Amino acid sequence: MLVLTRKPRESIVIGDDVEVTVVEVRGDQVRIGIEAPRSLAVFRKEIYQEIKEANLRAAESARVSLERLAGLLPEALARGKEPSRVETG
Amino acid sequence: MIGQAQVEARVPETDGSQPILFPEGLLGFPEVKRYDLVELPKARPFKWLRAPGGEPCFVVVDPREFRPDYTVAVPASDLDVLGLEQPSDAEIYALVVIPEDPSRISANLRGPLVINRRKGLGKQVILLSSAFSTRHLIRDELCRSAGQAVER
Repeated sequence: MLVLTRKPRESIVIGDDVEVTVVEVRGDQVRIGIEAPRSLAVFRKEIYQEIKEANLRAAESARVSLERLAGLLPEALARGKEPSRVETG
Repeated sequence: MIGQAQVEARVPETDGSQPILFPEGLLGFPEVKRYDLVELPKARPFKWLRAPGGEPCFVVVDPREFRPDYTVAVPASDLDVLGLEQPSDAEIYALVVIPEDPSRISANLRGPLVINRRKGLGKQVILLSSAFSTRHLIRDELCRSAGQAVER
């Protein structure tokens, strides 16, 4: 990993069109500004990781027979919809 | 069982499928780009998103089935990836997790799949807003949209 030392308001340029600026350092927190083309997705790493793990859980849990799916899923929807009918009826 | 066989003869397992290309794959499955979106008449409104080899396979559902106010702000760059001229042309699906206890079935509303069915293109979009999480219990959402607090 390339490690660079920067002070507040100093930047790092990545390629032609990405600029990362240290906006503020306060205690153990660093505020970072990022200028990048709209085509580049920029997210906190945690949310990437969280969605990746959610995808893995979803793939794991989808390994059920169609018979079980057919029985369970509409039931889950129907069960929740009951109060709705009571409410509007 | 004869009874079961008869039921299945009347209701087909699947009702057509359409190939969808995810040029960037799904998070955790970057190497898999091609999936089939499979209609499941017996488990409507749920569908399968399944790689042609069978794995990985996901159960997906349009979140508006249980969360009518759900909207996805699709970034302009993603509209380009999807070949979408306007967001209203998009279909939206959430990946579903099915635990042992069926009342705990949950959907990921933070990382929905946006699909342009006309062009057969899809992308998993990560929402910037934290208004939605990766684990919404479908049962709770249905109760909520019915205007009722969940009571235990």
